[in-house]
Amino acid sequence: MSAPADLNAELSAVITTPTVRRAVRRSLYWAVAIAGLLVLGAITIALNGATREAERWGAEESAPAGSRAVVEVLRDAGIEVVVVGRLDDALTAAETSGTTLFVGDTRAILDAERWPRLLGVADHLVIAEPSQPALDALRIDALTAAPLTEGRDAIELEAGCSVPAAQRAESIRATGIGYSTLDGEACFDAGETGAGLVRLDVDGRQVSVLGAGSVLQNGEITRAGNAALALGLLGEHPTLVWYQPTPADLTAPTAAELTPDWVNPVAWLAVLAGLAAAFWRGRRFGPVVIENLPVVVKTTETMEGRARLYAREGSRLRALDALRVGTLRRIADGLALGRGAGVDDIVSAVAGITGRDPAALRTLLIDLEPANDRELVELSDRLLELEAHIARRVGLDDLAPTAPPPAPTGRMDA
Amino acid sequence: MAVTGWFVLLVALGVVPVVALAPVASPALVLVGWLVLCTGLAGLDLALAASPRALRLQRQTDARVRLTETATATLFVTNPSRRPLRGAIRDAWEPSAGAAPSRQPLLVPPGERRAIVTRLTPWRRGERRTALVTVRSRGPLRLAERQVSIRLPGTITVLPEFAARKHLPSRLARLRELDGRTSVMVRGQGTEFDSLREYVRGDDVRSIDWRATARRSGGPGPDGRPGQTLMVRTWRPERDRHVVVVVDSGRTAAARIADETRLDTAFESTLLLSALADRAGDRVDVAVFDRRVRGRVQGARGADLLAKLVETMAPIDPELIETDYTAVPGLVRSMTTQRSLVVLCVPLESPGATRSLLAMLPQLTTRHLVLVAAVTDPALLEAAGERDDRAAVYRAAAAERALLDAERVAAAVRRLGGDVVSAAPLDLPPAVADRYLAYKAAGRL
Repeated sequence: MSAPADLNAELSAVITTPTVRRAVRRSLYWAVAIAGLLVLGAITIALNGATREAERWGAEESAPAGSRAVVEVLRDAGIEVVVVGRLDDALTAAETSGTTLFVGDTRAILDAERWPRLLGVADHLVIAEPSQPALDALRIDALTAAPLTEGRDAIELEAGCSVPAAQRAESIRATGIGYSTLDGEACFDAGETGAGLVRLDVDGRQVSVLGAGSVLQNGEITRAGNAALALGLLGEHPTLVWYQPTPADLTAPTAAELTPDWVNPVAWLAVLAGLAAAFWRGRRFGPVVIENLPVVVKTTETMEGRARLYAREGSRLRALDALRVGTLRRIADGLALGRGAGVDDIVSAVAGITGRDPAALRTLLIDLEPANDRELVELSDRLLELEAHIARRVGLDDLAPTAPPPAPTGRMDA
Repeated sequence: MAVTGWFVLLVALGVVPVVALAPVASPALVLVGWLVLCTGLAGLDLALAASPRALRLQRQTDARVRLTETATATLFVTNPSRRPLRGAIRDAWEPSAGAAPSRQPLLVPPGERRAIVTRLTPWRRGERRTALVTVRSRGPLRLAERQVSIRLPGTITVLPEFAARKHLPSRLARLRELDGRTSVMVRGQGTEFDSLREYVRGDDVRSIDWRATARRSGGPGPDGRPGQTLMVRTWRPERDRHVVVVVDSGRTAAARIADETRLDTAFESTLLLSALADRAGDRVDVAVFDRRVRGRVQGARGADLLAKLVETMAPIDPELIETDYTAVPGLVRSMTTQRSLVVLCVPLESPGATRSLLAMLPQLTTRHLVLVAAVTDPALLEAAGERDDRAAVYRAAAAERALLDAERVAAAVRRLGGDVVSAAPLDLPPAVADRYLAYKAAGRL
């Protein structure tokens, strides 16, 4: 069985793995295409800046939420505007006399320890929309009341106080938070919702709580007297310190500062070693071999399906009849009665051999109808018992289907 | 390319310089430097490895192997370069070719040739193929490997197992017993006169040839008295009969009974019958058929017959189409003109599925002796005897019903003039052979 084939010609050996040059050339199109898409995306982002969220009251922010307009106008008016992002810088810049300190803590970075440090530094402290915890920390006479809105729109407010900036503005149209005060001077009071501006005097220095924060924003500043209020409030002194707290104010040590500086590189190294290990173990030793396998058809499916049908429909009589026919067939074969033997012949032959009552045998083999599954199982057992009895009588061990050895062959040679 | 475990270890060892040099250098810089060093070493290793592209490969494979036996597939690897080739090689045989080992270490010194031997123990009949050889060449630093796949097709034909050949010696002995037998009990029109010999005790008295006895009775007998030598005629089975085997390779032949498809059982039966009939001096023609003739062996004798049979059967798998039984009489007519034994290897299951077979059968039985060889499912018999609980009883009932159906179909075949042999897969080939011997002895061929 092993006549060796001729040595195959070497010509048929073709290297299918592409060379490095061919692989590069083949993937060049995609590499260039992907790189081009990345460059295009980068250019788009650089031009539009669309992904950055506009910072509210940002001094350099030109989006509607920013405050670049008011800052630029103040600069043009000859006021020195110092934009700072750290509390220490803000305090240093505000030390000189003739300073307005603007604080807009949009990200709620300052905590109860830091708020009080802002007091008593600048000549005029302007706080935009402080939260209640901030007011508590400052220990000043103001409480948050309610949002300053009229439905969804900005609310129109009249000055109604003696603060010069407010009086010049006469009326504003803004949104923000309303504040109530006991001793301070409430301007732009809307009644229940509170006032848009609260002027307080703390230790001889002026403190303004600006609830109508939207008057500073580029998008709102042109409305009503908004611009007048903003410029009047912030342009009072020759220097304006524009302070917006940043994460740099958080002095708690970060995780990076606590760990040794080699931890990150080691973690990266572990990741790279893992990648290398994945490549080591995962690299396929040549392509997967494909083989068409023939279908596998199980033959007992029909039988199992039919059995489930019998069981589900409760066809006890039909099932029992099948068992009876099988028993009769085996008995007829075992007693050599021939294929043409009728039921009566078989019953009388069995009665003769076993000595049982023919009528009872006829009942078992033909007439009895099982009323429930228990009777069916019992009748089936009685059929088996009858077959075993006959087998014992005639000495045919292979008659009974339960006889285990030898394995059933199903050979029907007759 | 591929990397080795040593490369992974080398990368991981970078933790030592990164931590140790932390006081004097930035760990990130050390990390980058280490990675550059690793990739540089790996690149150097790749450059120094022998090129697997330069290899010359030759394949030498056994042309055919019988199922369950083992063949060898040898791959000759020549390294024409001036560097030694270290690495591994994989000959990508189909899974069912049972190739072992699937990948082997490879070391070919410069300018030399090595044989890589793969042992094939297929577990499926047919044509098993390999298309690719994949070679990895490791560099001297053992860090990286170059890998190429080379298309180098090879095939091996896996022949039917013919496990039934173990039954052949006993059947051949039976066949020899038929020769020179005097018995007239089995004598019929199919037996031929063989020779005359002296009567021995046990011979049938009806086979005494009185005329020959009278001719021999001239002289004195062994005890001096005349006329004591009786002569009997001996007979032998007729020779040069024709056996036609038609194997159904349609949808139902795909059914797997006792871990063997019907088609494989039919092939086993065909092989045993062919071997036996050929020795008995009969002509054997075989056709495998579903809607077209998938394989046909005609006019072969002796060792050539079996070789042609296994060669023809090897690549045939069951097709998932209904067999066109109406074309079978025409097929048989095209293979024989004289009266023959036609063996049909078809399933006899339910009356509905065999209707077209039964409709076609009279056309064959009028001219030929028809034997239908069908496989019965031992699982049915097992299920019929198992009645432990409610579900088992219903299963037993269904099994009995299936057996009854098969019996009804067999009875229908007999009524139409055919003959039926049905047995479990392992038992069917000897049963068919026995039936053939019975025909032979009875002179019915």
